Amino acid sequence: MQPTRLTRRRFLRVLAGGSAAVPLAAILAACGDKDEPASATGSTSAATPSPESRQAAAATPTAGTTATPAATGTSGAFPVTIEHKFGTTEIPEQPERVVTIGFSEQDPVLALGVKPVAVREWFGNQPYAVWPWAQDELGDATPQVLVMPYGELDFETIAALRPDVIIATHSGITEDEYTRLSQIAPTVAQSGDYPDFGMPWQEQTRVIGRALGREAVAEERIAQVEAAIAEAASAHAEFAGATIAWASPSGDGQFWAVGPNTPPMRFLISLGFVVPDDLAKVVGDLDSAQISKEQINLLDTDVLIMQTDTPEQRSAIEADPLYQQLRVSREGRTIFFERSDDPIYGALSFSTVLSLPYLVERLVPLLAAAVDGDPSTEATS
Amino acid sequence: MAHRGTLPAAKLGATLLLCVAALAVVAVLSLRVGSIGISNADAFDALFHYNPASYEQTVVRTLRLPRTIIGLGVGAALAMAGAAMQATTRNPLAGPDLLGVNSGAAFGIVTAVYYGHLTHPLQFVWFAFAGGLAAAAATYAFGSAGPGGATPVKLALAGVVVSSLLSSWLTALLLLDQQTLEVVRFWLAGSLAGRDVTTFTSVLPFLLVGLIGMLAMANQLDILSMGEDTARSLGMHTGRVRAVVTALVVLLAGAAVAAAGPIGFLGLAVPHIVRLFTGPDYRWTLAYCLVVGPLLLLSADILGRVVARPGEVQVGIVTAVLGAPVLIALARQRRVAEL
Repeated sequence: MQPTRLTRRRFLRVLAGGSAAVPLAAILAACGDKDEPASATGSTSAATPSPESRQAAAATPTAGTTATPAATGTSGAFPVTIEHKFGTTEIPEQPERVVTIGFSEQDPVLALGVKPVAVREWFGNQPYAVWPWAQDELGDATPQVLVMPYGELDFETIAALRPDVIIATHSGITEDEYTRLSQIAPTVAQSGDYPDFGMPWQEQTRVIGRALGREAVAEERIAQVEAAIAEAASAHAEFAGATIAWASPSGDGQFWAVGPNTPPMRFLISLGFVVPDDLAKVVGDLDSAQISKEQINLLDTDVLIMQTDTPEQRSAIEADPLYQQLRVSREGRTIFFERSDDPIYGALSFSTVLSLPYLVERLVPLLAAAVDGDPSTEATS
Repeated sequence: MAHRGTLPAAKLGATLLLCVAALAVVAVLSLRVGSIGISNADAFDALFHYNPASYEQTVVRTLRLPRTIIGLGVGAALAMAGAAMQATTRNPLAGPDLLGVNSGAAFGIVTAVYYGHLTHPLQFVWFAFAGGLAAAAATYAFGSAGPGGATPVKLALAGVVVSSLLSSWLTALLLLDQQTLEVVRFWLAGSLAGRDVTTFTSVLPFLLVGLIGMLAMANQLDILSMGEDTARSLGMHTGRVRAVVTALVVLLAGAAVAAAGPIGFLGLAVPHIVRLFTGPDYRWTLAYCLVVGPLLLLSADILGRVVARPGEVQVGIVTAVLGAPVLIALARQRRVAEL
């Protein structure tokens, strides 16, 4: 099993609460246990960062996927070349048939005014895999939904869509998969400067803007969203320096904690929040790390975002004597998302150019209610 | 077939006492050792002068004590069930899984969640028993068909078929339905942590009936393990005895699966380890299993708590990783085949 697969699965499991990517190890463990130790241990080896993610995390957020020709902001300068993790892709002319096989790229593509012919389902079972925050941009378009929940790519279906370009910036594809996709159409893979799934939304939007010949629109949208975030941050001075954590129960008496090098945490950090040092040390450069319930006090931050799969899981956490000892519990500082199809939770997982304004509108009030340390202000969506 | 144990009876008794002492030590360690450091004083107070305002004591009281208790019960149940399976099938590779009992229990639970929309582990218990029993019955039905009746080889083959079939169905159900997966994925990872104590206490009566009943069947297992013909010539109703033993195995394995989820290797490996001391005498074998099963399961659980800090490795994975080399080492010894 390739490390990238595990990374992808781990990431998806955390962000989608297991609904997008099944913990394969769990299924294997249930199906007899003669020869699975290798794969089973693989899924728990979350504490072992891959060298590439270490390296990537050292890169500054500004050193994204690079623009080779003059990034003038004008469209129509085809052919364009785009550098990414697996090399350089040339797009000969402005694409018409756009297929997105990353988990969140429906958003930036729609934001740039392009209707993709096919998009990928991540989680939530939304119509056309498009969430509420992107429905205006979708309009009456009806993209085909590619359901590939276990990370596998359906090359036949993708080829049958006759794409002009394949967008895969938030897909975690491997080099082999990139090579096969490139035989179908020019493929825009993830940046090599960040861990898989770690590309900042600005970079993602910018690269897709170049690939689609819509650089000017891309810059415009990025500036709008950055302004909205900055405005929210300045309107909530209490966010500055407040600690934050995002976790979900992993079922065996443990929690997954999401690392700071992910788009959702970057958004929260851009609002002024900080990831506490002891938690950051534990997660390291990973997109997420597993912590024992005995160390639940690592999650005792000024604001805790806790995502569960069912309301029962939430009740179980709230009834837990250890959790009840935490300040987040006593002072009502936890924002619970009870189900993975909660649109605010979805918007946070996506953290795209379209979902971030939705978050500014709907998550920021919850954050404010949580950070005030007053249990009477309900912070649950 | 009447092998003597490798140790004389007096020494067997003394060694068993030694194992009990070791189990007591491991049980205390299980309260002391884990993801965070806890002092002796806190561990002691958590048991006898519990202060709910103390973080450390709450860790011991609400996390480590339950998983230790569940480990004691599940370890004993799996080891005894494995030993009994090996005796009745005269197959050294037998374990609770061989008759499809574990897969059946897992399948029962997943089916119940899928069709019945259950959400709480307490509701799983009955479906674990029903599934385990149905799987064992199916295995016997397939294995007894044809000339010669239920021979060990036919039973083993039937068990493999039933297990694979159930596992495939289980996987299919999980692939089809996200909601089911979200409920059961918490349980499918064999673990002593994050388990509900009320689930364990609700299966405890069955577990005790299984353990006591199995100890009472020790003589019959001895005779049965000599082979069908010998047992019959000694006047035993082998079919009836097998049915009773199988029912007890279902109780033990079903209770263990419901309480902790699927944990492999323990039921297979512990009886072999134990027989190194006891030889084929099932009175001693079962008594040792009762102690050595929880001893090894708790040790594996403690190991899993400290190898991946700040995370933990599920005990089901630890037993699989440690169990494989142990089994290979055992298989290289001639004694394994001598049941």
